[in-house]
Amino acid sequence: MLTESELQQKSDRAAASRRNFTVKIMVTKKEKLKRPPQTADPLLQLHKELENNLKGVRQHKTKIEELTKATIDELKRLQDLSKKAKKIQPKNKQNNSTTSHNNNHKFELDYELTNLKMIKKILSLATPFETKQTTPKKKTKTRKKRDVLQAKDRSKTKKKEKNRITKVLIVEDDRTTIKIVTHILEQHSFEVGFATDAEDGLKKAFKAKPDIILLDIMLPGMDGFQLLAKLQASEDMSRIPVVILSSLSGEKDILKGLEKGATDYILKPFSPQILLYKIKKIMSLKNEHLASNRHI
Amino acid sequence: MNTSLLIVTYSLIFLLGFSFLLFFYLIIRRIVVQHQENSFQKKYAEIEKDILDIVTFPDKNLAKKIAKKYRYYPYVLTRVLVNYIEQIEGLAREQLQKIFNIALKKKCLKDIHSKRQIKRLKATHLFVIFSDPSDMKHIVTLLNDKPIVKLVAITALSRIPSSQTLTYIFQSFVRDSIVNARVYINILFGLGSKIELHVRKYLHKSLSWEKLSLLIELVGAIPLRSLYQDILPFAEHPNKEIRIKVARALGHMRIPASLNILTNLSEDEAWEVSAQALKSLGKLGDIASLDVLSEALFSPFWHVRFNAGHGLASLGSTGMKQLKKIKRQKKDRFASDMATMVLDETILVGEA
Repeated sequence: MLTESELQQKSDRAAASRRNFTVKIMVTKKEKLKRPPQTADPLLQLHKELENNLKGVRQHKTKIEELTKATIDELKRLQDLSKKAKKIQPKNKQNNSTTSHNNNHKFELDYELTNLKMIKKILSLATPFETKQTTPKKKTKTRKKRDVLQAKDRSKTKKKEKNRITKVLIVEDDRTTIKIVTHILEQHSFEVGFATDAEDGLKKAFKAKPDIILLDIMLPGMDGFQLLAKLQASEDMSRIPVVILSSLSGEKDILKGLEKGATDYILKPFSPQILLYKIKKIMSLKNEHLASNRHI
Repeated sequence: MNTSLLIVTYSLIFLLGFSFLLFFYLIIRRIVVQHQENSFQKKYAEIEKDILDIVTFPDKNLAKKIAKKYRYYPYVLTRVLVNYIEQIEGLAREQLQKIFNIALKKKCLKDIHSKRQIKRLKATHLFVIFSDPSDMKHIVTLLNDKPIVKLVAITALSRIPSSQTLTYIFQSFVRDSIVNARVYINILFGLGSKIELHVRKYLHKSLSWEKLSLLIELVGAIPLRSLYQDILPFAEHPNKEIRIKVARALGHMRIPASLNILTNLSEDEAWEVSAQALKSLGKLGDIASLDVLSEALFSPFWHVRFNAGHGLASLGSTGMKQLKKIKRQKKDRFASDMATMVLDETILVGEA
């Protein structure tokens, strides 16, 4: 059993130790605050070192590349020489002395060739970047996964391109025609906008940048030919196919429209089915053309 | 109370009541008209939606359904059909024709025999748009109607260009007064070479000079080159109007063999015939006509000189040389002036 005085002493000691501990913590905090800030993070230092090493490796690689080029040239030259020597050999078969000299020479050449081949092998081993490219390794699991994901992305983008809503702008003053064309195109998942005069049509064409324009000739104010000429003058707009939909059936008018840059000329009254087919065909041709341009 | 005061009071009350009733009537009428218009628009939109569907996906059964659904709204249905049929062609048009045949044809045939002229006119006009060979017998009955209905009936017949309908049109042309003759010519012009046989037949019939001249004009305007030999005898017709029309027709036809006839016509006693013949010679563009055109430039008639000058210009470099020569001469000031004017015009046109 502990006496009261002993208990007192124990509690005093515990209190003293607690005080010391808090003081230590305070000291460490102060020390930390007092310590000068570190100049750089160890990770940064490592990064710098790596960069320096990479620089060295790159320099080494360029040197090796130069050397390989020089050796390959030398090799070629020696191969040519050996071929020439082979040709000369049968002619000088009668002279024994010369044959022995040629044999020696051939031996020397062969020796040099083997040496050079060895050097080439060593160099190829020393240039890991090139060898990696030339010798495809077996596909790892992660690589396979990555390839599958990339293929999926590609197919998605292709589908998106296919399913991309085609924007059609109708520049027409007759409301009934607008309704017919809009209805038939919207039924076949086209996005349709319209303008009832040429000025508005021009504005909307520049703003919305449609994929195809359906244009009437007889419009209030500026006529369809003028609008077509303005569209053709612009670099961006000239790429958009324009289909004229007009009741002007004269040969001169049709030729004028086509000469001004229209892709097609459809006469009114028109068959909605034929119009739809023509628009689809023009769009598919345009997409094919774009795709071929991308490949190039 | 004084009687005069009573009269004034009652008259004021009457006036107030009358003006109130008038005001009330106007408001009610406006509301009714507005309501009618709204219901028309609503029905129009409803029918239009179905019509657009059938235009997009032509379907026989759908056409029947639409016709049956809206046959009790003939006015709105007619408006929608007329607006749409003028814009489309092919299968979609056939479907609209079907709707008309099922829903509106009966009513139209009834209206053709209506006592009200406006009804007859409207019904006939619908036959112009929805023309069908089977309707010919009904339309023919309208050829004896009033001029306005008759001419619409003629237009409806021209939409069914068969030999029989053309016979009806030409018979009506012969019977009708000269006032309407120009309308017939306009309708016949649209039929093109289909009328060739009928024109030939009627050129040899005894027609009034006005109608004859119109037929000759029609031959040149289309142009019906196969009727060249048929119009040649009219070059010597005593009526100058007919000779003018022959000269004009020959110019439109541009048949090289017509050079001699046109040369003869250019020397006609009537300056109108001469001027027209010179214009046609210019259209022919034969160098052989150089002397005739050069001589005509010294004519006392301004129109003759004018056409001769333009005729020379249309001959190309040879004609232009001749014009320059005439411009330099000092014998006839008028000829020189005309040559100068034509040369200036040609240069301006060339620059443009």
